[in-house]
Amino acid sequence: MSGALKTAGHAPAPVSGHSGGQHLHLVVAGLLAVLTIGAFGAVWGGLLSGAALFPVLAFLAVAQITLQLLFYMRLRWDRRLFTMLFLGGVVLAVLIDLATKSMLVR
Amino acid sequence: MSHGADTAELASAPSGPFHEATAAENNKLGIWVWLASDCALFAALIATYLTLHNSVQHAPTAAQLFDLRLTATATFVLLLSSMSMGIGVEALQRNDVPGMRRWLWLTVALGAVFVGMQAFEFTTYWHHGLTLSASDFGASFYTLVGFHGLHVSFGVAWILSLLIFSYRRPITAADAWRFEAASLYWYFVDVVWVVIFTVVYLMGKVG
Amino acid sequence: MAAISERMPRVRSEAGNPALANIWSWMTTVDHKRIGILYLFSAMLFFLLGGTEAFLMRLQLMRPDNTLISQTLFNQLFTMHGVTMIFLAVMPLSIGFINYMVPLMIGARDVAFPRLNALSFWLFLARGLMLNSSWLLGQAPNAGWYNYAPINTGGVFNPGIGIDFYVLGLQIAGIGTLLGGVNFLVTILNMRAPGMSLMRAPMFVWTALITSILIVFAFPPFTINLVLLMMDRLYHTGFFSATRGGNVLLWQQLFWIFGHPEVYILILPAFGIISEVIPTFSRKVLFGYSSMVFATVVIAFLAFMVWSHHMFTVGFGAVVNSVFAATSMAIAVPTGVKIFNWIATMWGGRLRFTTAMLYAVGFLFTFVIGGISGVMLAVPPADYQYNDSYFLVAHIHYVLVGGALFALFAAAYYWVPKITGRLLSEKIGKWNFWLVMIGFNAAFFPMHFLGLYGMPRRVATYPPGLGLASLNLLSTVGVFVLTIGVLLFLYNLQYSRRHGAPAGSDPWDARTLEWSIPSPPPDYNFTKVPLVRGRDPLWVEKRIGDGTVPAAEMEEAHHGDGHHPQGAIHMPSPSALPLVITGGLLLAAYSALYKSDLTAILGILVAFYGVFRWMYDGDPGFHVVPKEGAR
Repeated sequence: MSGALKTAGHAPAPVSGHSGGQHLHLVVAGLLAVLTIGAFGAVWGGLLSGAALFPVLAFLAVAQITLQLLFYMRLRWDRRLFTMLFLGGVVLAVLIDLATKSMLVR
Repeated sequence: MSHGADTAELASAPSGPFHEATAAENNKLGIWVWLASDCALFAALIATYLTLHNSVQHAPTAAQLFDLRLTATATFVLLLSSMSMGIGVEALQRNDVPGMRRWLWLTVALGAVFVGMQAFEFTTYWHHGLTLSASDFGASFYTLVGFHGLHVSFGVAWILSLLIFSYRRPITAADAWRFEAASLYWYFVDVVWVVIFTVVYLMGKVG
Repeated sequence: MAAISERMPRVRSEAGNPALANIWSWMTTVDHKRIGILYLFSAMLFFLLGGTEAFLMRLQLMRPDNTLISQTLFNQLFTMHGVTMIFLAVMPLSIGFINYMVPLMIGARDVAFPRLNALSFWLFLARGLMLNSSWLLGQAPNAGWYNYAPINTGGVFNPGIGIDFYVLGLQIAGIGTLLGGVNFLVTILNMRAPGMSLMRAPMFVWTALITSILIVFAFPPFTINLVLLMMDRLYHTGFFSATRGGNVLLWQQLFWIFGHPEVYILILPAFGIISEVIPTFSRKVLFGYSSMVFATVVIAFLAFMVWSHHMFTVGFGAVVNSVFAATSMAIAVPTGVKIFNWIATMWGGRLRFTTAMLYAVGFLFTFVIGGISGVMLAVPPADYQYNDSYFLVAHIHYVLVGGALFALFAAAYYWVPKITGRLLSEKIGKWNFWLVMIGFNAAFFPMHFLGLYGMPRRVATYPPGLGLASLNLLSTVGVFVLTIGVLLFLYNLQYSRRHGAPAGSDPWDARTLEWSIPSPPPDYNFTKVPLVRGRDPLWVEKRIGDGTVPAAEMEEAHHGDGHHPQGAIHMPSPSALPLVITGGLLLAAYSALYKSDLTAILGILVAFYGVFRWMYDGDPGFHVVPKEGAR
């Protein structure tokens, strides 16, 4: 899929890696829409409340983010290094937020 | 005494020609480092919000103000824009430049709609008395969500500049990474929005 | 040297004046070596400024009840001394050496993003000028280098615009440093010469890599902290205002989440320097290379886990304090591993005590003292006693002067010959070292006791009769000696520029790739990309090969412009865009200071113009062909 671009006589170095095709984008977008509606419905429709709500919302958010990272951002096919870097950022972000909330909010 | 260690290591001298890192490879890694770093940026903003969002003083609260229908619509707009971005880059890979332009124009339009909705949302809240200095809930809310809005605006300008680029120059394979870099950034902005939608809006509504 | 086949494309016509053309070529340069020199040179000027501030403070503290300097001025002096030494001297000196040496050590012709590198430098210079312009424009920042809330939010606590310089200057700085971190991370991960796996990279390259990671993850929280403070000061939000429901501890929290990794950003390159100098002058491989790498990674990881030990006394409670005490003490383990590895490297080696080596050994002594007082400070109950006393001042100076700065001196004696092509005088160097070593210890060792006797830091004077006078006098005398030592170093630089012995490509019989090319190196560094056949590539070739590093077999390169002459080397073009962007941001920053919205928007627009022009233009670069027979 990478050699398709017409180049001025060079070896092609186009958009790298696999990207899954147009079809995949539609499928992922559909899944994301379902998850968003789920989260929206849980709160707006009052389907869940209290203690059950937080883990469900967290799960839905993590699922959406994972889908986007793996398929839209192509981490599934790209260098492992990118995944490690980004996970490093995410882990640090979670650490900062949990620590700050537990230390500063009484 | 170091002789032995040196010779042992020589066994693993590389074979085959050396592939120099291309601009595309460097740029892509650079973008990923930047996005990872941006996680820490938003982490600090979210930490601020989590610390201060209950400090409402006499200003309206999240539960009073938020209209989840509006925000959910904005979420769908951004989601659609991610999809159109993906299909646009896909079109470029098939060397379908007009197709790429169509989808990228759609992305720009959706991004602009999202920013417009945010501007509408902010002015509405402002008129209800949630100003920057009214309460720390307001201050941390506007800063966090506004920072994301700035990210979206920057992305819109970036994609626009790529579109202009595509009209004024022939796009070669060596340019493809520019589009891919912008797309990675755009998806990332959507990822951050999922977090904000969940942490600020959904959880804010239930308190 | 090589003949340049094609003239470098100039950004603008040079109007015939060679001096102007020369200055312009430095201002638009994207060469990592020139940018490295710019960093080193400007950071040294800032170092002298920060040193002068310290000197004035020591003069004030020489006698009890001294009235040379008022508390108001003293506040500004210690704040600017800290900010200058940390952000404008030690960090950019490290970055200067990283800039110059890392591409040479990994066998690359430049960094991954040469133009971005130039932007990082100009943003650093802008921050330095902006911060120091505060002396001339009314009031310097005065709330300490960590600038605690609520004294930083202005109002009744601290009227005046001093803090605005801190906020806006360091905000610009943050962007530049972050971009530098991204740049070196990509450079080291993507651009190593063939054969140089990460586990063959010199330790200095490893520490530069880890430092970049720390920069990339630690600076964003600081950026946000500064944004919040700016909003508090300019738009009257109440993030840090306790009376309006804000949280003063939020500043401390976000500051130290950045601030502690920042300490390792300062010290890790120093570890790397020591790890290069000691093996070279011991004629041995670095002992325990893998454990050194592992220790560096562990330090980076722990660096994000210890921030709250700066806040033991704010009252987070026993659990939080215990956890952070444990992680803080744990850092002593990987650091200890490093110390033992350096000692073991020297053990049984053929030691040559050049000035660089003296500084490295001096580092071992002084840094261990700083490390021990660090562990003492990590004990929360005892910390209640040390907190905000001169004990802490002693600790930070033992790790930052006795640690980072000693290593930077070692780096200067070790690497300046590569940069200038001439050796620094060893005779002056020895005087320089002993004066600095004695002066430093005389100045800062007494501070441990001053702190334990109860002398608080950041107070402009002390009464007689408390037993503080003689140790303070000793400390000030130490600073006199230290100052003479530092001035001798400057004299040595100047003297050796003319009278120094020619260095040749490899004056120290060293081990790494930068010594396989001429001093100073040609613009393109390596005529042929080197093939790395082991750790310490040059040393390996000296032992097993003919002493020269072989050239790698290259895949056919394809640049944007199609055909280029046989054997030609692709070079990035100089650019004025980094200056444009920096100028725009500087205009915006000064406008925010004086609340001038229109010019602020103009500045931002100029900066954005620069950014988009940059992305739009790309860089075709140009080619040079090295002369036949050039190495």
